[in-house]
Amino acid sequence: MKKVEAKVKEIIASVLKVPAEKIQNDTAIGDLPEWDSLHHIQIISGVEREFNFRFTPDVIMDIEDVEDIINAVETRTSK
Amino acid sequence: MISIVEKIFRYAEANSDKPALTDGKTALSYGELAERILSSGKILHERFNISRGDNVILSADKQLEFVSLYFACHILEAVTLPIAPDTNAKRYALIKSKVRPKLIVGFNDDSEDIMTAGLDEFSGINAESVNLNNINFPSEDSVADIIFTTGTTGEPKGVKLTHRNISSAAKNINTFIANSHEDIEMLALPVSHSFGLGRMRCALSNGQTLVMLGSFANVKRFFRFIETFHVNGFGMVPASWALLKKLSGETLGKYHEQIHYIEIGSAPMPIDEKKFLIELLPDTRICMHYGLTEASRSAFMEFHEEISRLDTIGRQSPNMQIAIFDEQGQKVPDNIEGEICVKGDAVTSGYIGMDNKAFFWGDYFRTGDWGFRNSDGYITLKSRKKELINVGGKKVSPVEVEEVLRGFDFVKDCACIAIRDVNGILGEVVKAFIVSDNPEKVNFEYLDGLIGDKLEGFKHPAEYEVIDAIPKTSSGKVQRLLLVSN
Repeated sequence: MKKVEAKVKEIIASVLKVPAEKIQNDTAIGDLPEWDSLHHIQIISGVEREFNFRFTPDVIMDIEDVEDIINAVETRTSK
Repeated sequence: MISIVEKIFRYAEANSDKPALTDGKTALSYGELAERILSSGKILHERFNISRGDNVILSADKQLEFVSLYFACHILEAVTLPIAPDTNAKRYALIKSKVRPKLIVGFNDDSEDIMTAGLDEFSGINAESVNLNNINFPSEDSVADIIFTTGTTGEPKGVKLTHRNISSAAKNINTFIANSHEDIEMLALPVSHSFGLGRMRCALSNGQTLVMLGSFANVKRFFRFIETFHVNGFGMVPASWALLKKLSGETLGKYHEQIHYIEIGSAPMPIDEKKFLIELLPDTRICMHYGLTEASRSAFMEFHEEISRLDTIGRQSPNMQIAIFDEQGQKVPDNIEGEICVKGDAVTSGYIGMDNKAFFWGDYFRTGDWGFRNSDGYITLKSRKKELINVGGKKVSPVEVEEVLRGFDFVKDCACIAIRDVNGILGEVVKAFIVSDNPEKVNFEYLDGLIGDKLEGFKHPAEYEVIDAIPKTSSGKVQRLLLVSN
């Protein structure tokens, strides 16, 4: 697993307080009952803090699952 | 008054191919839903010996299996107890001890004296074809659901709802919103709470199509589902709207001709947001309710039609009666403040295992909320008697949070109150004041980790503050208002 992918999954698992293995690339926002509005905001903030950038509204609108978050981070951190 | 499950079967008989529900991957027609309900009922009865009056705890998540199981219990005249899949262990144990379920579905539970099952055990179809003449539908007075609410003491209270209660509520709501069987509704609210479960009942009892979405937080999927499934209505709490607005700006406005109705409830909404929605969705019936699990949708208002009364909670709903009572149980005249009390077929007969006299004035249920009604029937809510914190529509007892915090040895005393969510999403969040001999441990990261799964996420304090002493009355009652004013 790549470093970004591992870190993103770690942040999500930590916010949702679920075992890391429950977080797969195709796990969608809302698939787990713990992934509600409150926790989604915390995940976005946690990822922004960890990788030191801000998601723009158009990127947020384009996130549907874990893989989308990983791709968004990789796009921004590779610039 | 026929039950909701009977309405579903009668609708399915005449409209077998009509789409009933989808989770985006699998779709069921009304005919298939009826078959699934019968099939789940057969498994419940033959494998688990479930019959009339048995209590069945269900992990309430937006899955097709949950929907069919919920109504399968009703077909058997068993009682469903839908609870959130992430319910904390203490609350789960309390609920279990109060209802002594015969079967628990969808939870990892190693109880030796209670039967358990996974949701996937109800996935297949093994029923015979649907024949209405062979089905004994539940009587209107039998208990359909026991819904657990958050009591002020932190102990969950089980609200008994009969088939008449839930069927009347659905009828009242559909009447006010003016739903038709052509409506296609997105359900993004949790079905473990009254509002979301109520929306599910309303849509399916009315022959509508239900599109289930995991969470409003998935905005991409939310708008994709609106387009793909031609969704024309949904329910939301003010926090859902705050989140949608934060994540997607005014995108919802693009669908103003498509979205015919929105139901809002479970928490107050700022007037500016109501006006914003009126502008954004000029053609949509935007209906906001006031209600409780015990008295579903007691009052309603529609923003466009009642734009001059957005400061109120509206007027009593169709077939519901609201009266304002004083503390001696006497009705008070218009414009005089008192307790908001409700009666009607949708109102509960009471809580399980409790002496219910104190919760009623005659046949009016006492909401515990204070307000007054003007001569036009509009009700103004002044205050809530119960000290509950409303986190994005989910109610939190400060006492429950305090009990967990007091379990840590460095917490000598504590008290929790509601504060405004600085993110502008949830309305209220929990703030904890803590008296400690080790104040360096009182910080968000450390305490949040310690609390872990002892409390569901929305109950975790968002803020902590160390203080010298918790203000209390001479009898030892926490004076939360003093903490708020400080």
